[in-house]
Amino acid sequence: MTVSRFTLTGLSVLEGAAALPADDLLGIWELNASQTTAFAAVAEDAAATSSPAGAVEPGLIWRVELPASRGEAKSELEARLAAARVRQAYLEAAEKRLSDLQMGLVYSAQTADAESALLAEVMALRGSAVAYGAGDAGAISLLHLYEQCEALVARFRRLVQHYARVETSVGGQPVALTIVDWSGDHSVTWQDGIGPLDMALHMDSVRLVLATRQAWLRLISVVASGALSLSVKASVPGGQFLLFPAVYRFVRDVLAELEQVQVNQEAPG
Amino acid sequence: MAESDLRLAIEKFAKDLAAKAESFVEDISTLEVRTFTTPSAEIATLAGGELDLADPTLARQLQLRAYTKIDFDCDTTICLPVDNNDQVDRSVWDMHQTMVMQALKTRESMLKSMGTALTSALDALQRVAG
Repeated sequence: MTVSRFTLTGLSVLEGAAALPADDLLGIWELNASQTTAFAAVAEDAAATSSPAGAVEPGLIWRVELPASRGEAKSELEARLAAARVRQAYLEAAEKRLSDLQMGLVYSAQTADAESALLAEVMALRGSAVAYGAGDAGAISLLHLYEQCEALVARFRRLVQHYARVETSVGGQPVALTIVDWSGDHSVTWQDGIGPLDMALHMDSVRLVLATRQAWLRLISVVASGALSLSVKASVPGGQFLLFPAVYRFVRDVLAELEQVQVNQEAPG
Repeated sequence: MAESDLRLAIEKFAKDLAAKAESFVEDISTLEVRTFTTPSAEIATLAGGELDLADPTLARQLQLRAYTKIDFDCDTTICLPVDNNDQVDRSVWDMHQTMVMQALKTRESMLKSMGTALTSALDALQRVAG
């Protein structure tokens, strides 16, 4: 194996998941229920012979498949860990911008597209309970956003119900798996005779999973508390629910905007 | 319709989170770390399942090599791995110690996450009340 794969199975099988993109919104993990991996191939064979169909609810499994070159594997993991840290910082920035949002201010379209779009939605909700007519493009877009939010919340429920199971393979060979539960207890199983390099790779995989979970929980906390406080600022009755999709879109827009700024800064010339 | 579906989903999520936070507070009094080893031919068969040691098939595949339990008051129980000559097996012990350090860091970050979420919620509620 020469390429890395970072997949999370168990979220994409949820009802409504089709409304969400196939990545994890932070751009680190691929969500896919049907991966064949060094671990998964054996598990699927075992399930086919020993378990009746539908008898076992699939849990959440974070699979890290790394190339045989330990140097490349280490670099790839370090890059993803750095990306997770960057996204955490972006979330802090999004929370700050949400907190600084003022209802009466006019935001420049060039400098604060996300703020302008959010305020426009807030004003529409404040002005009328039904800002759009049935069949309007705006109504369809809003409905889609509601569906995305509902699917997102369902994903987060699943994330809360299960903690973390991390499986690492290097060069197509499984090397270790770790289960972390909600109290922080760890159970780790190593392949006999594992070397220090592979051990370090698995430890980094566990760190990446935990950093991702932390970022996701931060995301939901930013959106939920942002929607609640904005509903008060804007005097929208029941606004914490009505504004949830708009605030989610705002946070998503801010993440994309900051990502673009970084890409532009890194571009040559 | 879409709003009430979303409201229901958020309420369920909040309920689950509250239940987990409650069990987290109950379970946080101890931290346990278990280190197992398994032959390379066996490890792939562990995919997707629970590590339930009461399962005799699984118990045959896994060998518990080291165990650490740290109580909240820092009382610590450690089971050391030894080889056939009753000497501490350094390679397993090093792996286990690294995992204990990782578990302590994880718990610290979980506590921080819970604290941050609680602070955000209180802040938002204060805005509502004020």
